[in-house]
Amino acid sequence: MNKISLWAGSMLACGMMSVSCTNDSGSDSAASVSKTEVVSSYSNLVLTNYQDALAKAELMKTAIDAFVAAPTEAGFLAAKEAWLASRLPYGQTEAFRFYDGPIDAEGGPEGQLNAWPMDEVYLDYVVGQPNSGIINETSIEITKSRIANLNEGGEDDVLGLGANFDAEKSISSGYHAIEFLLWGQDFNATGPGERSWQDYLTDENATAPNGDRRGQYLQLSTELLVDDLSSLVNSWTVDNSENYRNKDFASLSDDEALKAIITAIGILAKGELAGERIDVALSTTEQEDEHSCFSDNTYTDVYANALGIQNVYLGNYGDSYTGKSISDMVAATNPSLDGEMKQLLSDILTTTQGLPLTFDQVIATQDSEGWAKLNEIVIKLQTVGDRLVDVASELGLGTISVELPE
Amino acid sequence: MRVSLFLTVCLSFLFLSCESKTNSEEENVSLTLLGGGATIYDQGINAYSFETPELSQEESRSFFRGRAFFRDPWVIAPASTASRDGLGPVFNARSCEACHLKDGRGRPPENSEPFTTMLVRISIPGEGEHGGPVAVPNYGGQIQNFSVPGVPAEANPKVRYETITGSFDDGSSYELLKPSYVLADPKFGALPTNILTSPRVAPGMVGLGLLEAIPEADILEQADPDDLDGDGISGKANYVWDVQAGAASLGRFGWKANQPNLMQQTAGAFLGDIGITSSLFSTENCAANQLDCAAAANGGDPELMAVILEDTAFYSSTLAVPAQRDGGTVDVLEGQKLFAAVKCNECHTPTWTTGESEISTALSNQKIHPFTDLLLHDMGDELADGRPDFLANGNEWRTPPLWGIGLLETVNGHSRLMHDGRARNIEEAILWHGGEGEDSRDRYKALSESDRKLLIKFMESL
Repeated sequence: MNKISLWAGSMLACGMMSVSCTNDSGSDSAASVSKTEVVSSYSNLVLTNYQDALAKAELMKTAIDAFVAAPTEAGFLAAKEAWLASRLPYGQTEAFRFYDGPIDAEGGPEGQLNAWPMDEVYLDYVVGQPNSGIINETSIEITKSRIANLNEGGEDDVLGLGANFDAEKSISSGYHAIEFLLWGQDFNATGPGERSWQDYLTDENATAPNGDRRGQYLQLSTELLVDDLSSLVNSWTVDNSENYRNKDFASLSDDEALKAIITAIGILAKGELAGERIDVALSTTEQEDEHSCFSDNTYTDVYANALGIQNVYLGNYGDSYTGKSISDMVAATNPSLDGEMKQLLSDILTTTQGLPLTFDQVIATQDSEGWAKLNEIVIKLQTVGDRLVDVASELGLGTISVELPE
Repeated sequence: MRVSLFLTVCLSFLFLSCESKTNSEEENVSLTLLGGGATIYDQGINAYSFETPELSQEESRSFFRGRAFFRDPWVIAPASTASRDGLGPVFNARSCEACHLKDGRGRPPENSEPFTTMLVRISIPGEGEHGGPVAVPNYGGQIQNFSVPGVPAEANPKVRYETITGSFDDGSSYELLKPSYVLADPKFGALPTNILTSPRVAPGMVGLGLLEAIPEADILEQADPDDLDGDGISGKANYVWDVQAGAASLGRFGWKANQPNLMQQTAGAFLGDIGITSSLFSTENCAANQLDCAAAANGGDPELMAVILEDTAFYSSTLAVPAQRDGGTVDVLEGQKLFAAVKCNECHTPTWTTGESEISTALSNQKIHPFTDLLLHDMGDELADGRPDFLANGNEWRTPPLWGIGLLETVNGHSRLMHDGRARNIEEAILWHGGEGEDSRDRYKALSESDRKLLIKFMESL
């Protein structure tokens, strides 16, 4: 219950945000916008969004540190609420993926921050295996670098025969690892996972062994997440001449930069969000085929991704940032294309807000109203991808491909 | 796009008007659209990963869902993501893409790496159920070198190379790497002394649905198992067990053409390589004495949802073929002539026309240039694995397609070829040809250095 009201609250806030955005833009004098201004405004938007994601992650860290220091039910709830609040800004930053920027260039932190699906049994106990996972493997010292190395085939990935090597991923860090440590496995048809706060106790009231190690893992993986987000903020700050923004992004021509920016949101819309995140779930109708499966917060993930796309197109981030936008440029030469884009993005957000129940319950039945609405979102997101190809061509950027989520 | 399509149609008409299968005419065909309508023009690191153009909206959605299942790792059961759990208990990889990296080809391990994009099939002599290989007692039909915690992996394959030398007719010399394999750390007792092993790299994924749509009668027309025409080249059809049909069918896929269709190939790889059971293969990969394996939690019965199998098979069928590069240049055209003159064409059949595809109309009735006859050939003792696979004997391999070969290094960062990746480049692959390929190899060795380069240049354009 609490989760749903939280959801409703945050959606209301977002809704107001997006409505006000839609009204704001378009009134600018479109003809005066240059590509250079739009690219520069994009960099500011990226920075603002990562700063918000970092701020919310730091609040989460504060809540988690307090909870681990003295576990209580109220502290546990506060930690969970902080996690939920941290997802909305982060989800919007996914609009900055898919062009080998700081987030997902080789060595970038994307896999460490947001990989999915979680290898639950690799991290902690699961139903039927009370002693499984790194947390219960007391021979492994839990440190930040160890958590990083244990994730995604890092050098200490223990899964498999190769002593210090594995070809693929065991996912054990990032938002979803923290989510798993807060909510636990979700075998609940009508709500999220029900991990007890007493999993973090070490006395006779403890509901699982190794509560201290669990707390340590929770704190350190949160710290790692804050570190990664800090590094992303540092990559985009204005005043560091050696960072990605000033050294790499600035070295792109305006056309190259715009091409990357538009391709990225096209890939997020069409391939990643429509295809891999929503359509897969619509097809399997598996309740937990959703990214935030422990907390049942996938709704927010979908909304935040779509909002991130709209942010980039309209050149703003809520009330915190408004700048020159791709929309302004398109409106100057092809107002009907710009109008269609704005309408699609606003429809997608509105439809997402109008979804009944939570994502996992929506996808469970193919003939339900919610399933049909999500299906409509998929189709509109695919159209957004196709229209962004037209936008690139309208701006003289040539042919872009939005087909390849990676 | 429209212009080049138009041109190709014109060229196809030109070609049709003088259609006959002699080499001299084949060599003049425009190859730009290697995959017919299922051709794309990207030449970058993602060149193997595009969907076939002209898929319907529904098909495109299936492609992207399949893409997600191809790439996402499977997790250990039990997990909340119930449709994604059931990895292993023993396995070679956690996802399809772990081996078919960027939808491309695997390679042998380097230095002390374990086998990751390559695996070893095993059997003992004899003929098993439905004429297939006989499983090795306590180990099964494939070495799975990884496992979930608490379950032992089967063994750790290792490869060593010996450098052998040879020379071209012009006197210049070359070196080849001759592999030998060891199955170290066998966990379930000594391996039998009569064990047969077949190391195989993960093959590339482009254009597979087109190959499935080549009419069976057309393939069989090229078969000449007893070499009645006396050209030294047989071409033998493999007939393998088709699980859904419950009957023997023409084998088309796999290094020995041991899979009849992509649905079965996909389900087979899910079980054999990742440890995911499906409606086609419902029994976990735990040999009789592998008790921890049998006792491990599974991810459902079967683990693979039907829709996931369908989407993954659809994805595997509809990856587009990258267009030929530099097809009109003098060098490449010269190389194309040499390719025919050396008679590579005899097995690497350049051109086919697909029939009606059961997968998608976008794959139907396309003129394609895969450079394979999909038939088995004796490739000599040096390449032999000595391990029969249905009708394929220990010396026989299926002619692999050559489309996409020129982008291997761009996409996968290596240029290893042949079934076990022993060839370090295209030239070495040619030089390894023995048996029915020996005459072509010798004709290649007789070419001048500049002609050899032209021929390779042509192959790199594919």
